[in-house]
Amino acid sequence: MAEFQAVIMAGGKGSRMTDLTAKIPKALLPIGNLPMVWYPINLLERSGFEDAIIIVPAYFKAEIERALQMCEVKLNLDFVEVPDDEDWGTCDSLRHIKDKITTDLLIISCDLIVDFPLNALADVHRTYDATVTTLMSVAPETFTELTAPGTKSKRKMEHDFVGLDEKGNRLLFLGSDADFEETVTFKKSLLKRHPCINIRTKLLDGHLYLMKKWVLDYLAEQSSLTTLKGELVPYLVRKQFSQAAKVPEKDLPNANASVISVATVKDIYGFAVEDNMAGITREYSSWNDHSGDMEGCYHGNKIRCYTHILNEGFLLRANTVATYCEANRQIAKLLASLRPSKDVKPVHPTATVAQKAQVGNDSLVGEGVTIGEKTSIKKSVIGKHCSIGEKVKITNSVIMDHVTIKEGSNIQGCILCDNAHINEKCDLKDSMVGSGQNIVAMGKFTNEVIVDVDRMMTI
Amino acid sequence: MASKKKRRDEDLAQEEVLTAVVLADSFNVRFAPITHRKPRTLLPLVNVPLLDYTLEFLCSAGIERVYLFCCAHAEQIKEHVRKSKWSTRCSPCEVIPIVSEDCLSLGDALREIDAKALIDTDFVLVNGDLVSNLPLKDLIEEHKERVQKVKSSVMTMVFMHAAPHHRTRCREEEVLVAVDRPTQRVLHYRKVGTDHKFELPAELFQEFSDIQLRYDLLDCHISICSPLVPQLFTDNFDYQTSDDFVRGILVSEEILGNTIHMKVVEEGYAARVSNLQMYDAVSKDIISRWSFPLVPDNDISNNNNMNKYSYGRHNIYLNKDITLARGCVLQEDVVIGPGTSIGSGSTLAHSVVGRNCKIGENVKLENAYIWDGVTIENGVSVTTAVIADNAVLKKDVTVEPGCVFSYDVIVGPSVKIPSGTILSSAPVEDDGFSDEEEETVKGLNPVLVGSQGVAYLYQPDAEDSDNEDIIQDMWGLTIQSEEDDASSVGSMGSDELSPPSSPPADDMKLFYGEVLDTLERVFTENIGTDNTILEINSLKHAYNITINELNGLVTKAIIAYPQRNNKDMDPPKLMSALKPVLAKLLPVLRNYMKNTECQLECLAALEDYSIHHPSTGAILMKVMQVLYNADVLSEEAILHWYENVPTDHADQHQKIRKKVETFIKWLEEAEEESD
Repeated sequence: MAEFQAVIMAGGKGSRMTDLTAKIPKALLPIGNLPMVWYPINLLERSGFEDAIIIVPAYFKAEIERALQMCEVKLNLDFVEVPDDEDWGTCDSLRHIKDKITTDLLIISCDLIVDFPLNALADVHRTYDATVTTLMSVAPETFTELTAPGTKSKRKMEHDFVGLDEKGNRLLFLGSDADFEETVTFKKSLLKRHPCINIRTKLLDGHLYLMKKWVLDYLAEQSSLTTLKGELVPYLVRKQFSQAAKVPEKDLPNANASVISVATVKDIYGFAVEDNMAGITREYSSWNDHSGDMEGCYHGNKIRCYTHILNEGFLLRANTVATYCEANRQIAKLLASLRPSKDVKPVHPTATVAQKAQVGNDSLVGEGVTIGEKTSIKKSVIGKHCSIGEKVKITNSVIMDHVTIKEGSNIQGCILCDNAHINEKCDLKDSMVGSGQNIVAMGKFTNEVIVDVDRMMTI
Repeated sequence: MASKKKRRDEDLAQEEVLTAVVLADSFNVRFAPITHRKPRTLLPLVNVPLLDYTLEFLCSAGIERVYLFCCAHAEQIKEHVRKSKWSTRCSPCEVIPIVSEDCLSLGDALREIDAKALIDTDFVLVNGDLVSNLPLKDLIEEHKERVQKVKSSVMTMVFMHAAPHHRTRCREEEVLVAVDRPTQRVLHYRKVGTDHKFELPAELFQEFSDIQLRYDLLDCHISICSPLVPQLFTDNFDYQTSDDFVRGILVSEEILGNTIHMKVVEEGYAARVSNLQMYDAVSKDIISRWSFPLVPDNDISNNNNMNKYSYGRHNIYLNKDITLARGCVLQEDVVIGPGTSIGSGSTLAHSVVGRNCKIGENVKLENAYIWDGVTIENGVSVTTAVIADNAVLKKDVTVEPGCVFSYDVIVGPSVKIPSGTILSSAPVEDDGFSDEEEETVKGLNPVLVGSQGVAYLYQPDAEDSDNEDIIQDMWGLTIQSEEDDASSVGSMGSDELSPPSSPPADDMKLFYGEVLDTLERVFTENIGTDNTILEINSLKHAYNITINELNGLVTKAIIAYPQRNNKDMDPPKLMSALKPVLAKLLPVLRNYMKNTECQLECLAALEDYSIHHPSTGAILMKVMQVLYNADVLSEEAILHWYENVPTDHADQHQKIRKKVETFIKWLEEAEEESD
């Protein structure tokens, strides 16, 4: 039996990029001409997984299945549908598949791109016999000022406050800066046990979790929790240092009987039971996770949250328009390492590129694309069957499938969705063009979102 | 050309005289009354004056000039320096005493230095009670390199790594430091004191992405300062202590642009003898050779053979010139100074004995610091105490932990000195500007000090220890009953941030326990209704309990209260126990049961409790009647409750309802009548 069962969370709607996900599920948004969900699947394949459960919206199940067949996925995928109409959080999805889970879990989001295999993460998880292990990476400086097409303001980084122990593995503290108004409070009891806390704010969270099975059992009981990142993980992090609710024999009367009705409900520590063998092993081992006092390993904490921080390598979540663009910009460099078996060329063999056209190495051109003379393409991804006229300049842009760009246009930092039609001599800068939109000749747009008017209303 | 000039600059920099400023005054009275006669820096630590450790450390670290800042007892210090090896012509280090009697703080001292324009280079600032063997030169080098790069850096604070349970940590000196990890710049610095929570400004974390919060540091008060520091003290005349300075620099960082950096040394030793606890800890560290080469067998003070110690196993240091009677046992960690004799049958462990002491037979010394010329007669037992020069302990005296005997104290015979007693040989005379009440010395008390005793109880000046919020630990007593609040909820105070939907089970349990405790106090301390309500309300906020939950829990707690100690009372007994409780707490209940909904909560709680406690179930009807009569429960609420049976475990609920049937019937009849 496998050590971990992988669950791919592809049921999201892409609520932070609604303009892009109007007609297409988030999981199928193209990144480097591959559906987004291919990247986590690829990661699992590279890490040696053979099976995975994938959670998809019921409405798009067939479409996702079809798209994945096209990109030669070797992983055995077990598709699980979640209803489209209801607002399901990640925890709801997990509760939904509870019966399929027999071992510890690996939960991965469909928008994660990582170019490292997961061994190091799993090693951390195993070393400390962790309850939850998360994956984070140091955000490159440039990430703080990514701009999203269609908005003027620079993207504000959502800062997480991540408190780590001295070695940088144990998660002691998790919060976002929205949680704190003026001061952040630390308790002395925590500092006593972990006298050296590193607080990092510019970390990217991969939303990838290795999790003990009992957490799922607990989750099944607690229907109030809906999201992993927002509720469950912070809750677990907090609960690390509490003791199992004391059964105070001496000062509560009748402690053994149910004094309070809620006492009958098992608290989280009731779930966090570790098997006897692990406890004995630890007792007999001279290994300790800390020094400086005489207490036992982990200070007797039953719940332990850890994190693995990637110091090098690439980690990105394409969960906003800005990061989605960034992912497309970076992907040309990454694809080769992500699938070494395939010889990836920047320009697909079936594409026709005119003699004097220039396609930079940092760009990708999909199949059946025609590119006219004197056109230059830099740092961009061109989808399938696009037709690009002469003297077109495309930089820093994402062009999805079947887009037509007529001659002399200048596209800079844009996203052009499927079937968009750009007429002659348009000048688009940092804008987003919705699918099927037609931009009349000589059109000039900066920082704008051009989508159906009635769709605009619904936002 | 340019390079040549640069090189010349470097040469000039090389020629700088490495300077240190030693504050030979502690500006506090932790060692009173001993320090009334002798300055702290001259007190013997393992038979060597403290100042000698500091000077030896500075000298061996390559410091060439030491300004020794003396305030109290300046003459004694000057005399000591004059006689010491640093005044000989071959001394590698020049020690210059500066006397300023009216100096009252570190700030004053540095202002004085600035006024005299003594220092124009980087210098090391230490206290005269420092014991250390750190490679100071490297630290200075590092500081200078940093200043080259970061012009704004004015000071490097040196910390020693010491985990929270380290022996050489005392609560008075505990610090919490937030530091920017890549640059080691100090961002926040505070004394821990008695706080259980620390609030740090959130903007700190927005500005710096990689902050280290350290509670594992021992502030050894070695600061490497740029020449700017004395000026800053002059500019800010309100800076008194180094804490003021650090805080001031950090707060005004944006305005003045000065920064402080820190260096944590993992190896080496540094500690200040800042109070009795540290005196104890540092003595032990020296005896167990952590401070090497500053150990007794290395003759720190001077080079005469008189003071030579031999070092034996179990850390036993013996001077050549001692008399050990047959049958005395030196267990471990013992230092015995010259001219001392120890009688047979005596046992010594973890103790230091000074020069020319006379220790009789069957004496037991454990963790005792005996200074010079002390006489200890037969059968005395001393545990954890400091006994200053020329004190006399007569026959069969027992000294309990934490005592301090000042010079010339005589106690005994056959008395027991209780723990924590501080004795001085003369009533402390008024030193002019302290009020008479401040230092009270009781007259001779033969019961306390024995029939031949000459000793006066010394009580530390109450004002002094309170005005700064310093916790003075009682030395030698492990009364650190600091309750471990880890068992309560959660980590870094972020509990209140938890989404309201998160499982509240623990909170409710805790709240329930607290309510019970409150009730306990209502009866033992006779707290009034209003205060009880106030207390319960504040608990509600503390545990994030909704008003509905509160109604139920308070009801349960009140019902459960009489049974807290005795779980199986028979129903009549229980009722008689419950009656006074209810009578007392009815106003409290009435306060909460304001509408039908609340009353239903109350009823549901009563029911729930009765299901699990048959004896309560038996008296449920009576309880309900009492509550009804007291207008806590209304008729309609009771009837509503009676008619609506919860669907789960219906049989149990029915059973309960059966028990109160007669009461309900009576109610219904009464209703009809009134109709």
